[in-house]
Amino acid sequence: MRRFVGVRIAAIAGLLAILVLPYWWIIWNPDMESGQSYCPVKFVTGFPCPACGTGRAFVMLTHGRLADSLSYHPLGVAMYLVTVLILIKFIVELVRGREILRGLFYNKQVAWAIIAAFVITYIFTLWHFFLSNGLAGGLKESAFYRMFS
Amino acid sequence: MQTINVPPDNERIPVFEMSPILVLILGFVTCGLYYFYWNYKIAEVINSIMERDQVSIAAAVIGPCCLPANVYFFYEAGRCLEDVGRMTNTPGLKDEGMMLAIISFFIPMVSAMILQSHINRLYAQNTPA
Repeated sequence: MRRFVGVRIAAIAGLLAILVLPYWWIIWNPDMESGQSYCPVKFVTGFPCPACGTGRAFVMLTHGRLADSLSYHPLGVAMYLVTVLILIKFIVELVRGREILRGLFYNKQVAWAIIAAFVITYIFTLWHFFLSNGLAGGLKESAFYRMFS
Repeated sequence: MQTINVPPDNERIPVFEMSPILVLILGFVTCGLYYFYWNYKIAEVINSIMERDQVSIAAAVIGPCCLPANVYFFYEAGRCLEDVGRMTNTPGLKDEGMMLAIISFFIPMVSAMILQSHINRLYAQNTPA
Protein backbone atom coordinates (compact mmCIF):
# COMPACT_ATOMS: atom_id res chain seq x y z
CA MET A 1 0.00 0.00 0.00
CA ARG A 2 2.91 2.34 0.77
CA ARG A 3 4.26 1.81 -2.74
CA PHE A 4 0.78 2.37 -4.26
CA VAL A 5 0.48 5.75 -2.52
CA GLY A 6 4.13 6.72 -3.07
CA VAL A 7 4.03 5.99 -6.81
CA ARG A 8 0.83 8.00 -7.23
CA ILE A 9 2.11 10.98 -5.28
CA ALA A 10 5.31 10.98 -7.36
CA ALA A 11 3.28 10.62 -10.57
CA ILE A 12 0.92 13.47 -9.61
CA ALA A 13 3.89 15.74 -8.84
CA GLY A 14 5.56 14.81 -12.14
CA LEU A 15 2.40 15.29 -14.18
CA LEU A 16 1.69 18.66 -12.56
CA ALA A 17 5.24 19.72 -13.46
CA ILE A 18 4.69 18.63 -17.08
CA LEU A 19 1.44 20.60 -17.28
CA VAL A 20 2.58 23.76 -15.51
CA LEU A 21 6.34 24.22 -16.11
CA PRO A 22 6.01 24.80 -19.89
CA TYR A 23 4.27 28.10 -19.05
CA TRP A 24 7.54 29.48 -17.66
CA TRP A 25 9.86 27.74 -20.10
CA ILE A 26 9.60 30.47 -22.74
CA ILE A 27 10.40 33.07 -20.06
CA TRP A 28 13.49 31.15 -18.91
CA ASN A 29 14.49 30.33 -22.47
CA PRO A 30 13.46 33.20 -24.79
CA ASP A 31 15.36 31.64 -27.75
CA MET A 32 13.18 28.56 -27.52
CA GLU A 33 11.54 29.06 -30.90
CA SER A 34 14.79 29.52 -32.84
CA GLY A 35 17.40 27.90 -30.58
CA GLN A 36 19.21 24.55 -30.80
CA SER A 37 17.03 21.48 -30.37
CA TYR A 38 17.79 19.20 -27.42
CA CYS A 39 16.81 16.12 -29.44
CA PRO A 40 19.73 13.66 -29.85
CA VAL A 41 18.25 12.26 -33.08
CA LYS A 42 17.97 15.75 -34.60
CA PHE A 43 21.49 16.54 -33.42
CA VAL A 44 23.01 13.41 -34.98
CA THR A 45 20.95 12.99 -38.15
CA GLY A 46 19.79 16.54 -38.83
CA PHE A 47 16.21 15.31 -39.25
CA PRO A 48 13.42 15.77 -36.71
CA CYS A 49 12.31 12.77 -34.65
CA PRO A 50 8.63 11.88 -34.04
CA ALA A 51 8.76 13.78 -30.73
CA CYS A 52 10.41 16.95 -32.01
CA GLY A 53 8.18 19.92 -31.26
CA THR A 54 6.10 18.38 -28.47
CA GLY A 55 7.81 20.49 -25.80
CA ARG A 56 7.27 23.70 -27.75
CA ALA A 57 3.68 22.60 -28.50
CA PHE A 58 3.08 22.30 -24.73
CA VAL A 59 4.63 25.73 -24.12
CA MET A 60 2.40 27.36 -26.76
CA LEU A 61 -0.65 25.61 -25.38
CA THR A 62 -0.05 26.88 -21.85
CA HIS A 63 0.06 30.39 -23.35
CA GLY A 64 -3.23 29.83 -25.17
CA ARG A 65 -1.60 29.82 -28.63
CA LEU A 66 -3.46 26.82 -30.02
CA ALA A 67 -2.53 27.35 -33.69
CA ASP A 68 1.17 27.67 -32.83
CA SER A 69 0.94 24.58 -30.68
CA LEU A 70 -0.56 22.56 -33.54
CA SER A 71 2.08 23.85 -35.93
CA TYR A 72 4.90 22.63 -33.64
CA HIS A 73 3.37 19.19 -33.18
CA PRO A 74 -0.12 18.17 -34.33
CA LEU A 75 -0.44 15.73 -31.43
CA GLY A 76 0.73 18.23 -28.78
CA VAL A 77 -2.83 19.18 -27.79
CA ALA A 78 -3.89 15.52 -27.64
CA MET A 79 -0.86 14.65 -25.51
CA TYR A 80 -1.62 17.54 -23.16
CA LEU A 81 -5.21 16.35 -22.75
CA VAL A 82 -4.05 12.78 -22.14
CA THR A 83 -1.64 14.08 -19.48
CA VAL A 84 -4.56 15.86 -17.78
CA LEU A 85 -6.63 12.66 -17.91
CA ILE A 86 -3.79 10.60 -16.42
CA LEU A 87 -3.43 13.20 -13.66
CA ILE A 88 -7.16 12.90 -12.87
CA LYS A 89 -6.84 9.08 -12.93
CA PHE A 90 -4.02 9.14 -10.36
CA ILE A 91 -5.87 11.60 -8.10
CA VAL A 92 -9.01 9.42 -8.19
CA GLU A 93 -6.88 6.32 -7.48
CA LEU A 94 -5.24 8.03 -4.54
CA VAL A 95 -8.63 8.99 -3.09
CA ARG A 96 -10.30 5.61 -3.71
CA GLY A 97 -7.22 3.52 -2.85
CA ARG A 98 -7.56 1.28 -5.91
CA GLU A 99 -6.50 1.29 -9.54
CA ILE A 100 -8.95 2.43 -12.25
CA LEU A 101 -8.92 2.23 -16.08
CA ARG A 102 -6.29 -0.51 -15.89
CA GLY A 103 -7.57 -2.25 -19.03
CA LEU A 104 -7.05 0.90 -21.11
CA PHE A 105 -3.41 1.37 -20.15
CA TYR A 106 -2.45 -2.27 -20.69
CA ASN A 107 -4.36 -2.70 -23.94
CA LYS A 108 -2.33 -3.66 -27.03
CA GLN A 109 -4.89 -2.15 -29.42
CA VAL A 110 -4.53 1.20 -27.65
CA ALA A 111 -0.75 0.89 -27.96
CA TRP A 112 -0.94 0.21 -31.69
CA ALA A 113 -3.37 3.12 -32.16
CA ILE A 114 -0.86 5.43 -30.43
CA ILE A 115 1.98 4.13 -32.61
CA ALA A 116 -0.15 4.62 -35.75
CA ALA A 117 -1.03 8.19 -34.72
CA PHE A 118 2.64 9.10 -34.20
CA VAL A 119 3.82 7.37 -37.40
CA ILE A 120 1.16 9.12 -39.54
CA THR A 121 1.95 12.47 -37.92
CA TYR A 122 5.65 11.84 -38.44
CA ILE A 123 5.19 11.13 -42.15
CA PHE A 124 3.50 14.54 -42.52
CA THR A 125 6.20 16.20 -40.41
CA LEU A 126 8.96 14.74 -42.60
CA TRP A 127 7.08 15.65 -45.78
CA HIS A 128 6.79 19.23 -44.55
CA PHE A 129 10.47 19.21 -43.49
CA PHE A 130 11.64 18.00 -46.91
CA LEU A 131 9.47 20.55 -48.69
CA SER A 132 10.96 23.35 -46.57
CA ASN A 133 14.60 22.21 -46.31
CA GLY A 134 15.16 19.45 -48.84
CA LEU A 135 17.27 16.37 -48.12
CA ALA A 136 20.50 18.37 -48.27
CA GLY A 137 19.14 20.93 -45.80
CA GLY A 138 18.55 18.19 -43.24
CA LEU A 139 21.90 16.53 -43.78
CA LYS A 140 23.70 19.85 -43.37
CA GLU A 141 22.30 20.11 -39.85
CA SER A 142 23.64 16.68 -38.83
CA ALA A 143 26.53 16.33 -36.42
CA PHE A 144 28.50 14.29 -38.98
CA TYR A 145 28.24 17.00 -41.62
CA ARG A 146 29.33 19.66 -39.15
CA MET A 147 32.18 17.45 -37.96
CA PHE A 148 33.63 16.78 -41.39
CA SER A 149 32.82 19.99 -43.24
CA MET B 1 4.12 -15.73 -31.91
CA GLN B 2 7.56 -17.35 -31.85
CA THR B 3 8.61 -18.69 -28.46
CA ILE B 4 11.81 -20.24 -27.16
CA ASN B 5 11.79 -23.88 -26.09
CA VAL B 6 14.22 -24.22 -23.18
CA PRO B 7 14.38 -23.78 -20.31
CA PRO B 8 10.71 -24.65 -19.63
CA ASP B 9 10.36 -21.64 -17.34
CA ASN B 10 10.89 -19.32 -20.31
CA GLU B 11 8.41 -20.88 -22.73
CA ARG B 12 5.93 -18.04 -22.65
CA ILE B 13 8.48 -15.34 -23.31
CA PRO B 14 8.41 -13.83 -26.81
CA VAL B 15 11.80 -13.81 -28.53
CA PHE B 16 13.23 -10.35 -28.89
CA GLU B 17 16.97 -10.82 -29.07
CA MET B 18 19.20 -8.34 -30.82
CA SER B 19 22.51 -6.60 -30.44
CA PRO B 20 22.37 -3.48 -28.22
CA ILE B 21 24.45 -1.68 -30.85
CA LEU B 22 21.81 -2.53 -33.44
CA VAL B 23 19.17 -0.98 -31.17
CA LEU B 24 21.19 2.24 -31.20
CA ILE B 25 21.83 2.18 -34.95
CA LEU B 26 18.21 1.38 -35.86
CA GLY B 27 17.07 4.16 -33.53
CA PHE B 28 19.17 6.73 -35.35
CA VAL B 29 18.61 5.36 -38.86
CA THR B 30 14.83 5.53 -38.40
CA CYS B 31 15.09 8.92 -36.66
CA GLY B 32 13.67 7.44 -33.46
CA LEU B 33 10.67 5.63 -35.00
CA TYR B 34 12.21 2.26 -34.15
CA TYR B 35 11.94 2.99 -30.42
CA PHE B 36 8.14 2.81 -30.63
CA TYR B 37 8.43 -0.79 -31.77
CA TRP B 38 11.31 -1.55 -29.41
CA ASN B 39 9.45 -0.23 -26.35
CA TYR B 40 6.36 -2.21 -27.36
CA LYS B 41 8.28 -5.46 -27.72
CA ILE B 42 10.26 -4.98 -24.52
CA ALA B 43 7.05 -4.23 -22.60
CA GLU B 44 5.61 -7.46 -24.00
CA VAL B 45 8.71 -9.46 -22.96
CA ILE B 46 8.74 -7.94 -19.47
CA ASN B 47 5.05 -8.60 -18.88
CA SER B 48 5.68 -12.21 -19.91
CA ILE B 49 8.66 -12.52 -17.56
CA MET B 50 6.73 -11.10 -14.63
CA GLU B 51 3.56 -13.06 -15.49
CA ARG B 52 1.54 -9.91 -14.86
CA ASP B 53 1.12 -6.43 -16.35
CA GLN B 54 4.28 -4.89 -14.94
CA VAL B 55 4.65 -2.25 -17.65
CA SER B 56 1.77 -0.36 -19.23
CA ILE B 57 2.08 -1.00 -22.98
CA ALA B 58 0.32 2.29 -23.75
CA ALA B 59 2.83 4.21 -21.60
CA ALA B 60 5.69 2.26 -23.20
CA VAL B 61 4.76 3.34 -26.72
CA ILE B 62 4.21 6.96 -25.68
CA GLY B 63 7.72 6.83 -24.15
CA PRO B 64 9.74 7.81 -27.23
CA CYS B 65 7.64 10.98 -27.53
CA CYS B 66 7.28 11.80 -23.87
CA LEU B 67 10.24 11.88 -21.47
CA PRO B 68 8.28 11.18 -18.24
CA ALA B 69 6.57 8.17 -19.82
CA ASN B 70 9.95 6.90 -20.97
CA VAL B 71 11.43 7.33 -17.49
CA TYR B 72 8.46 5.40 -16.06
CA PHE B 73 8.92 2.69 -18.70
CA PHE B 74 12.61 2.19 -17.92
CA TYR B 75 11.98 2.29 -14.17
CA GLU B 76 9.36 -0.47 -14.37
CA ALA B 77 11.36 -2.46 -16.91
CA GLY B 78 14.52 -2.23 -14.80
CA ARG B 79 12.66 -3.56 -11.78
CA CYS B 80 12.15 -6.90 -13.52
CA LEU B 81 15.87 -7.49 -14.04
CA GLU B 82 16.16 -9.32 -10.73
CA ASP B 83 13.71 -11.88 -12.13
CA VAL B 84 15.73 -12.05 -15.34
CA GLY B 85 18.80 -12.75 -13.21
CA ARG B 86 16.95 -15.50 -11.36
CA MET B 87 15.72 -17.09 -14.59
CA THR B 88 19.18 -17.00 -16.18
CA ASN B 89 21.12 -18.05 -13.06
CA THR B 90 22.79 -14.64 -12.86
CA PRO B 91 22.52 -13.76 -9.16
CA GLY B 92 24.55 -10.60 -9.73
CA LEU B 93 21.71 -9.09 -11.75
CA LYS B 94 19.64 -6.90 -9.45
CA ASP B 95 16.79 -4.40 -9.71
CA GLU B 96 18.20 -1.62 -11.91
CA GLY B 97 14.98 0.38 -12.23
CA MET B 98 16.29 3.56 -10.64
CA MET B 99 19.56 3.50 -12.55
CA LEU B 100 17.84 2.96 -15.92
CA ALA B 101 15.29 5.69 -15.10
CA ILE B 102 18.02 8.21 -14.28
CA ILE B 103 20.04 7.34 -17.40
CA SER B 104 16.91 7.49 -19.57
CA PHE B 105 16.27 11.02 -18.35
CA PHE B 106 19.48 12.13 -20.08
CA ILE B 107 20.29 9.50 -22.74
CA PRO B 108 17.40 7.06 -23.27
CA MET B 109 19.33 5.22 -25.99
CA VAL B 110 21.90 4.07 -23.42
CA SER B 111 19.14 2.77 -21.12
CA ALA B 112 17.70 0.89 -24.09
CA MET B 113 21.07 -0.70 -24.85
CA ILE B 114 21.61 -1.74 -21.22
CA LEU B 115 18.12 -3.21 -20.97
CA GLN B 116 18.45 -5.05 -24.28
CA SER B 117 21.79 -6.56 -23.22
CA HIS B 118 20.16 -7.93 -20.04
CA ILE B 119 17.10 -9.21 -21.90
CA ASN B 120 19.41 -11.03 -24.34
CA ARG B 121 20.56 -13.21 -21.42
CA LEU B 122 17.18 -14.93 -21.55
CA TYR B 123 17.94 -16.28 -25.00
CA ALA B 124 21.70 -16.76 -24.68
CA GLN B 125 21.14 -20.08 -22.87
CA ASN B 126 19.39 -21.45 -25.98
CA THR B 127 22.13 -20.54 -28.43
CA PRO B 128 23.93 -23.70 -29.64
CA ALA B 129 27.56 -23.91 -28.51
